[in-house]
Amino acid sequence: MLSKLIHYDFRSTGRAFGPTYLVVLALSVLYTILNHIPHANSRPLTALFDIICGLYILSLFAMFLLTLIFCIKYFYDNLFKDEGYLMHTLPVTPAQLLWSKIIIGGVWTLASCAVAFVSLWIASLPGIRSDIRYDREFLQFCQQALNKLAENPEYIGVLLLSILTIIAGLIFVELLFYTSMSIGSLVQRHHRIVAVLVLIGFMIAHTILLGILSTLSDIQEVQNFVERVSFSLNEVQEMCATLGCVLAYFVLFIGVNFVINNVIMKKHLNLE
Amino acid sequence: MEPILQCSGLCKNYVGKTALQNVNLKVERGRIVGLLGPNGSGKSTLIKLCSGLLTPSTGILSIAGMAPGVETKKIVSYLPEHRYLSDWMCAKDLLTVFSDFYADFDMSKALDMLQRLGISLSSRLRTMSKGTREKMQLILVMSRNAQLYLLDEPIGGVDPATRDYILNTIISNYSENATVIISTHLIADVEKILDEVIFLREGSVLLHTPADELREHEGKSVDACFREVFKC
Amino acid sequence: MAWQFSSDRPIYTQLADQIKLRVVSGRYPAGSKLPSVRELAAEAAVNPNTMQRALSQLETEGLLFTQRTSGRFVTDKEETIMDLKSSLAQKVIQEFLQKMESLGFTQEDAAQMVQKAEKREREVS
Repeated sequence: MLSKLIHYDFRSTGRAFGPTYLVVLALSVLYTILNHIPHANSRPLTALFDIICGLYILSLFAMFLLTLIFCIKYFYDNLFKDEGYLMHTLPVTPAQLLWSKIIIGGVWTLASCAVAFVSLWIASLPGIRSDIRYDREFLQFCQQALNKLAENPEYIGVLLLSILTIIAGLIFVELLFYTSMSIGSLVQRHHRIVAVLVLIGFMIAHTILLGILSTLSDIQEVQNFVERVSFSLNEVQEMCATLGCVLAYFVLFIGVNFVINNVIMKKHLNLE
Repeated sequence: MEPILQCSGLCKNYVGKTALQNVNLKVERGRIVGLLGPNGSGKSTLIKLCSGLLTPSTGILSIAGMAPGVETKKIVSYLPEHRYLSDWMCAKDLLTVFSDFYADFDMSKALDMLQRLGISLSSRLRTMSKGTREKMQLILVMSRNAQLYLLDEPIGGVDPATRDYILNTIISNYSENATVIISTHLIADVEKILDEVIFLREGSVLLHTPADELREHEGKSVDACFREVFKC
Repeated sequence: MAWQFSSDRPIYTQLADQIKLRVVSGRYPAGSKLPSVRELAAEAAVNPNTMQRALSQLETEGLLFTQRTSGRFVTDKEETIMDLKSSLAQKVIQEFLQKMESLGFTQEDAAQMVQKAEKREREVS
């Protein structure tokens, strides 16, 4: 059932992203073309080049912003407006509905990153005006990482854990937005304002929590404990332990958000 | 077999309002039941509770002996009062979605009905007239071999010919195992196909009797009884 | 012949009456097989349960009978149908006489007017 939901959500959302990605890629192609045309003495061409450059950078920001806004809007429209009458009467659990939204939110975010990366690669093809080669730097970074891995294969664990933590972090952030919208749906009017307030509330809460945690880590006993533990671990294990703690934090609050959303969708569904 | 719908002590409260209070109902299978009452009487609330969109505040609601959940959604086919499908979808997309999610969806029945109504598979919802859209939504709901059909104002905004078509579809879809609950204001149009009627007033069940029994007892049509009972 | 019934009386009795008319008029001849309950209900635009009740009543009255595997049939006893025909006719006559009485005619006047009207019909055709 989950795969069917994901399929449905993809079909519903795909139509919005296509044009955006095309625009970004087109602008980067335009930029690179202009970059290859000698126009040192041509004022209009120089001006055009600068405009395209500005537009392109703007389009990158716009793409990411649109991805965020669109995914959140889709979450709300699909589950709490008219379409909710369809989604909540399908033979699926609220958890499945939520996971589907998380997965497509994640996929579109990654797709936007991929498009940004490809367009940057296109834009950075060696030209006359600028020759910052982002791809060369990125490739150098990848090479270094692979070398380090080859030397110390145990770093694979760190790599995998990092990927896991990044994914968990992405889901965690998505859920902050989604949960805010869900809580916003509980009020009759001004649900967007309430959602924004709730989101700010969440961010404040997490900041406070992290503040408390860091205060706790200043306590002598805690510092002694951490020192003793890190003494017995080697570098890799220490990195894994740290990542593990971050991952645990994310997973804990993913769970909390899931429970909140589940309760709202099961017991307090309030379709407009 | 157990009754398809059973409510005991069912209540649904909102802040400052009681939508349903102490509803006790038993609806057997193989019936076409009219859920009748003025605006705000709790008809939509009861239907939404049965379809799983709302949860009871107190009391018990069971569909085919089960509490509302994923399993009951598999056997309940719900037609909401207003539009609930994405505008950009075309008829073919909708059939695919329904047949994907519902094991009891009968694709050949749906295609047959579409053909008879002259709705092309590629026509999009956003370009359909209101009447065609209502027919489309009805086709999707009635093409399922569900055990409980919940129709919320199915003939409200359509012309008389479409009304006849919708009522005929409901009759011809009849099965001894399944029950259709129709919530409506347009009693005169619908009463000929009803087995039983339920009158709801301000969240309480006033009566639940077979339609012919009501006619025999009161010597008037269900519509006339309704007008008398709910006189303003 | 379209199905005619109103909502202010129990529908199943009206359906039964309509079926009786159809039998008596020869639309459903003696011994013939009736369409299925579903078909009849769809034709009349009523609930199949209501139609079923009407048919059951007629079965009890002896006008119809069911053969388990083959379906529902009109009785092949001609006398049953003739009896029904005359009792229906009697009702029509009674209603006519009552109506004429309410218009102020005696039963003899009414009978005479019927004879005159019948003569005129014969001359015309």
